[in-house]
Amino acid sequence: MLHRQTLRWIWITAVLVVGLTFTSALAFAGGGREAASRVDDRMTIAVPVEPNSMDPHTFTSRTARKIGYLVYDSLVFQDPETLEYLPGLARSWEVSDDELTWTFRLRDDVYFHNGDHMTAHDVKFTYDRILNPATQATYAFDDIGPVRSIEVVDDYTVALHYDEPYAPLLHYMALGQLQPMSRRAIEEAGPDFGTRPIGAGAGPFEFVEWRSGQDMTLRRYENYNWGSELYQNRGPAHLAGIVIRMIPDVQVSTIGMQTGELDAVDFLPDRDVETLRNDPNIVMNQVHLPGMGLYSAFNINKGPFADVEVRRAANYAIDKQVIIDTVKRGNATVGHGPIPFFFHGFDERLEDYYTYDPARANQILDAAGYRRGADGIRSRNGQRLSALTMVRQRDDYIDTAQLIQQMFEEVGIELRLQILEWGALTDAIFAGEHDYTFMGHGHGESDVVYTLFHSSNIGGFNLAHINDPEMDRLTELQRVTTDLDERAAILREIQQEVMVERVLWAPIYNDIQYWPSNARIENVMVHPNGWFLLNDARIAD
Amino acid sequence: MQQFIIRRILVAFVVLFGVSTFVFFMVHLIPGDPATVMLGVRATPSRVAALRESMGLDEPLVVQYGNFLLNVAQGDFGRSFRTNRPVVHEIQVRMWPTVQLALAGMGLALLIGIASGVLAASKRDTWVESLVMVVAMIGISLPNFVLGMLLMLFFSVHLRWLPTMGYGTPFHLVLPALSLGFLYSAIIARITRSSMVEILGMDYIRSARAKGLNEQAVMYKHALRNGLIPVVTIAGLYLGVLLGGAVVIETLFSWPGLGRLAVESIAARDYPMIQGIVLVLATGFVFVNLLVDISYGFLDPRIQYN
Repeated sequence: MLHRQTLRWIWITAVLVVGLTFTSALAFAGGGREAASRVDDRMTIAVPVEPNSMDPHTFTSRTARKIGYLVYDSLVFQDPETLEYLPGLARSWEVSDDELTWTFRLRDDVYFHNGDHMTAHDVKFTYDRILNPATQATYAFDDIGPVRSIEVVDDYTVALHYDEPYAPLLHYMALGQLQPMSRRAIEEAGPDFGTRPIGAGAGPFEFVEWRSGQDMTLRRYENYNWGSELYQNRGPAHLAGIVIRMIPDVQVSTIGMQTGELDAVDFLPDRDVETLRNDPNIVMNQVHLPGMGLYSAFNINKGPFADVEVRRAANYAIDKQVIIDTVKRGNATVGHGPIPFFFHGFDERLEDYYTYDPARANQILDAAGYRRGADGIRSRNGQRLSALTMVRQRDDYIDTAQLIQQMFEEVGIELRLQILEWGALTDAIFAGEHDYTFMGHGHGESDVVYTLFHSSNIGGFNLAHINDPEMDRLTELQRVTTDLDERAAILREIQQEVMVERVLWAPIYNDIQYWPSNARIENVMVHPNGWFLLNDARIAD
Repeated sequence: MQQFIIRRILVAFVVLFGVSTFVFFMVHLIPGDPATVMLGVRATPSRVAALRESMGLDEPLVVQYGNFLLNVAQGDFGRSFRTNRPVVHEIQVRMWPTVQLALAGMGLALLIGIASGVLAASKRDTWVESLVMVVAMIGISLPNFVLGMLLMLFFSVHLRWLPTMGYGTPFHLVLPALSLGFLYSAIIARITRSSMVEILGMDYIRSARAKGLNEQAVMYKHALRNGLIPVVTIAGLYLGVLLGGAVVIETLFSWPGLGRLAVESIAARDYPMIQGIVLVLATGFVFVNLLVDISYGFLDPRIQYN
């Protein structure tokens, strides 16, 4: 008699047999394909996070932006050393006297990867697309600023008309989500443009294929002849192509560097730096990352940090060097404020302002009337200095939070740590449920102060939840001031407000990151934002 | 018969409706907003609001639920919030590697597990049995990602025989399948051994031996066939688990499977993708069970459907 159970197993066995047969067949077919296509003049780079899209207008992933540097060329480039803006697809540019119109003169010899000639009409199409709500543009929408209209002056001249002066425009152009794209390529791809951006760019490498969860393949663009003066090689790249592999486990990427399966990795954990540094086959490219590796923000509206004196004391209680030495294994520098020391407009006065001085922290708290209880935690008028501290579920954040918890305890402030996953964390801290929290950002421009301290960003990354007309005025003013010295003065004023007057933050460190590359590939350049610039890269002899 | 099939299909739809409703409300209840997660460190309240609107998240939940049901009824699972790829296509692409890994892992587990289980049972009270059982104990105790890491260090870094990562050739399949299969082979070995030991003590085995059958025939023809029933039950259960995606091993070996996709989608609060994955898995389960029940009647005419 046939049991029900037996029948179930007949099915499972059948599936098993059929599955195994197909598996083997497919696997062997696939094996042949890979073996044949694996050539040495391509560079293989591992990335830990798969991009969400390759459409510069909608991607929100750092990885996508980095790959975008290779596929799409911008109107303007920025020299990583001098920070000077250099011609790209635009030969030159100028801003009108009233600072409301930016005019770009384009090269007339640029062809997109699909063979279409680039003209001012493509630039206008690209920027109009960002402004069109149907595009659902994300960062690109913010980057282009308060533009009113885009005008085609002639085939190779385009003008951007603004409602108010917009200082960071060139920076965002060079940063890369505002690169011109081929109208025909975008229209042909339709809704799949983000995953199949074929022929759309005018960069040194063209997009070929993206296999979900596996890899993305780029090929050298043979007609490329408009390289920036950043590079020695202005013509087609030396490398035949680039394979970007999605390797979610960063430890495995390190192993892949050692076995030679990978030529470079996009993210190297601090604990693996020493391992690769001692490998003669690996070149370590060091970059001081833009933005703030890690900072802590006080919620000034509730909890113990509503009192500015407690916030001031807290800043003296943190030994940043200990955090850098233990959590970051030395791969960071002390953070002084919202703008890193290597950015335009950094206020040098902050460098020596808060040094580790627990005695001073105690003094400030004593003077403010906070007395220690039996457990060592201070209180005043029955209010205990005990802060709900929301921490992102990531090793470096948690380790730092625990160290600061101990440091604060020494001066009588208690931190109650609540570890949260990113989605839950942003929900809570955007709503202002925290007393204290930790965050990092990778903004490459001082304009970040607008995101961090303007009242319109309460509910976003204004994590101090400061709503103050003076802060709003200053953060708006730096955006519209195009004179560099004037803007620097405003930025310094903002930093004084943030760190000295109002004490909204306790900055922790600026990240130093390493981008290792295989020594078989020479002339690898790393952009300050941490991506490989490969126009000059070639296979070593 | 026909009535039975129609009834079962109707019941299957009710089950799937229940699953989809449950999943819809579950994913919307997870704290964290898809637009905020997607915009990352550059989320501004105005951008978040605009993106939420374009995702249709500004509508009341009941309206969103109605739209979702309407679309699913038409076979439209929508596009991923994160990548804008069609959900169905993405699941198709990621399903196959998971099936390959599950079948290879379970195949290895059955092969190694049954062989060593039989060996242990036939060599009772010898060092062979002890060795098999010790190795099995290690297999059960060792987390599979630790084993995976060890295998990777030995075969990839030290010997350079096999790739550490990726997908596409049989070589890529070896280490992840071994890391997965070892745990299950250990479980299967223990079950095979105990089941065989029990059966080898039964009267009919004694009769078989008494009538002069050689030991091999006794072992494989009579004992093993009966001894495999619990093994097959366990293997089937675990195969189901593996088909849901082996997240840790898929991540460790950069295997482009469904498990990794599910975890990435949950982290990104990619509602359409999460709903799609769960619904596809549930449909698969319901469908296989339906098939089993229907074929049951075909294969055994004594079964009456009423």
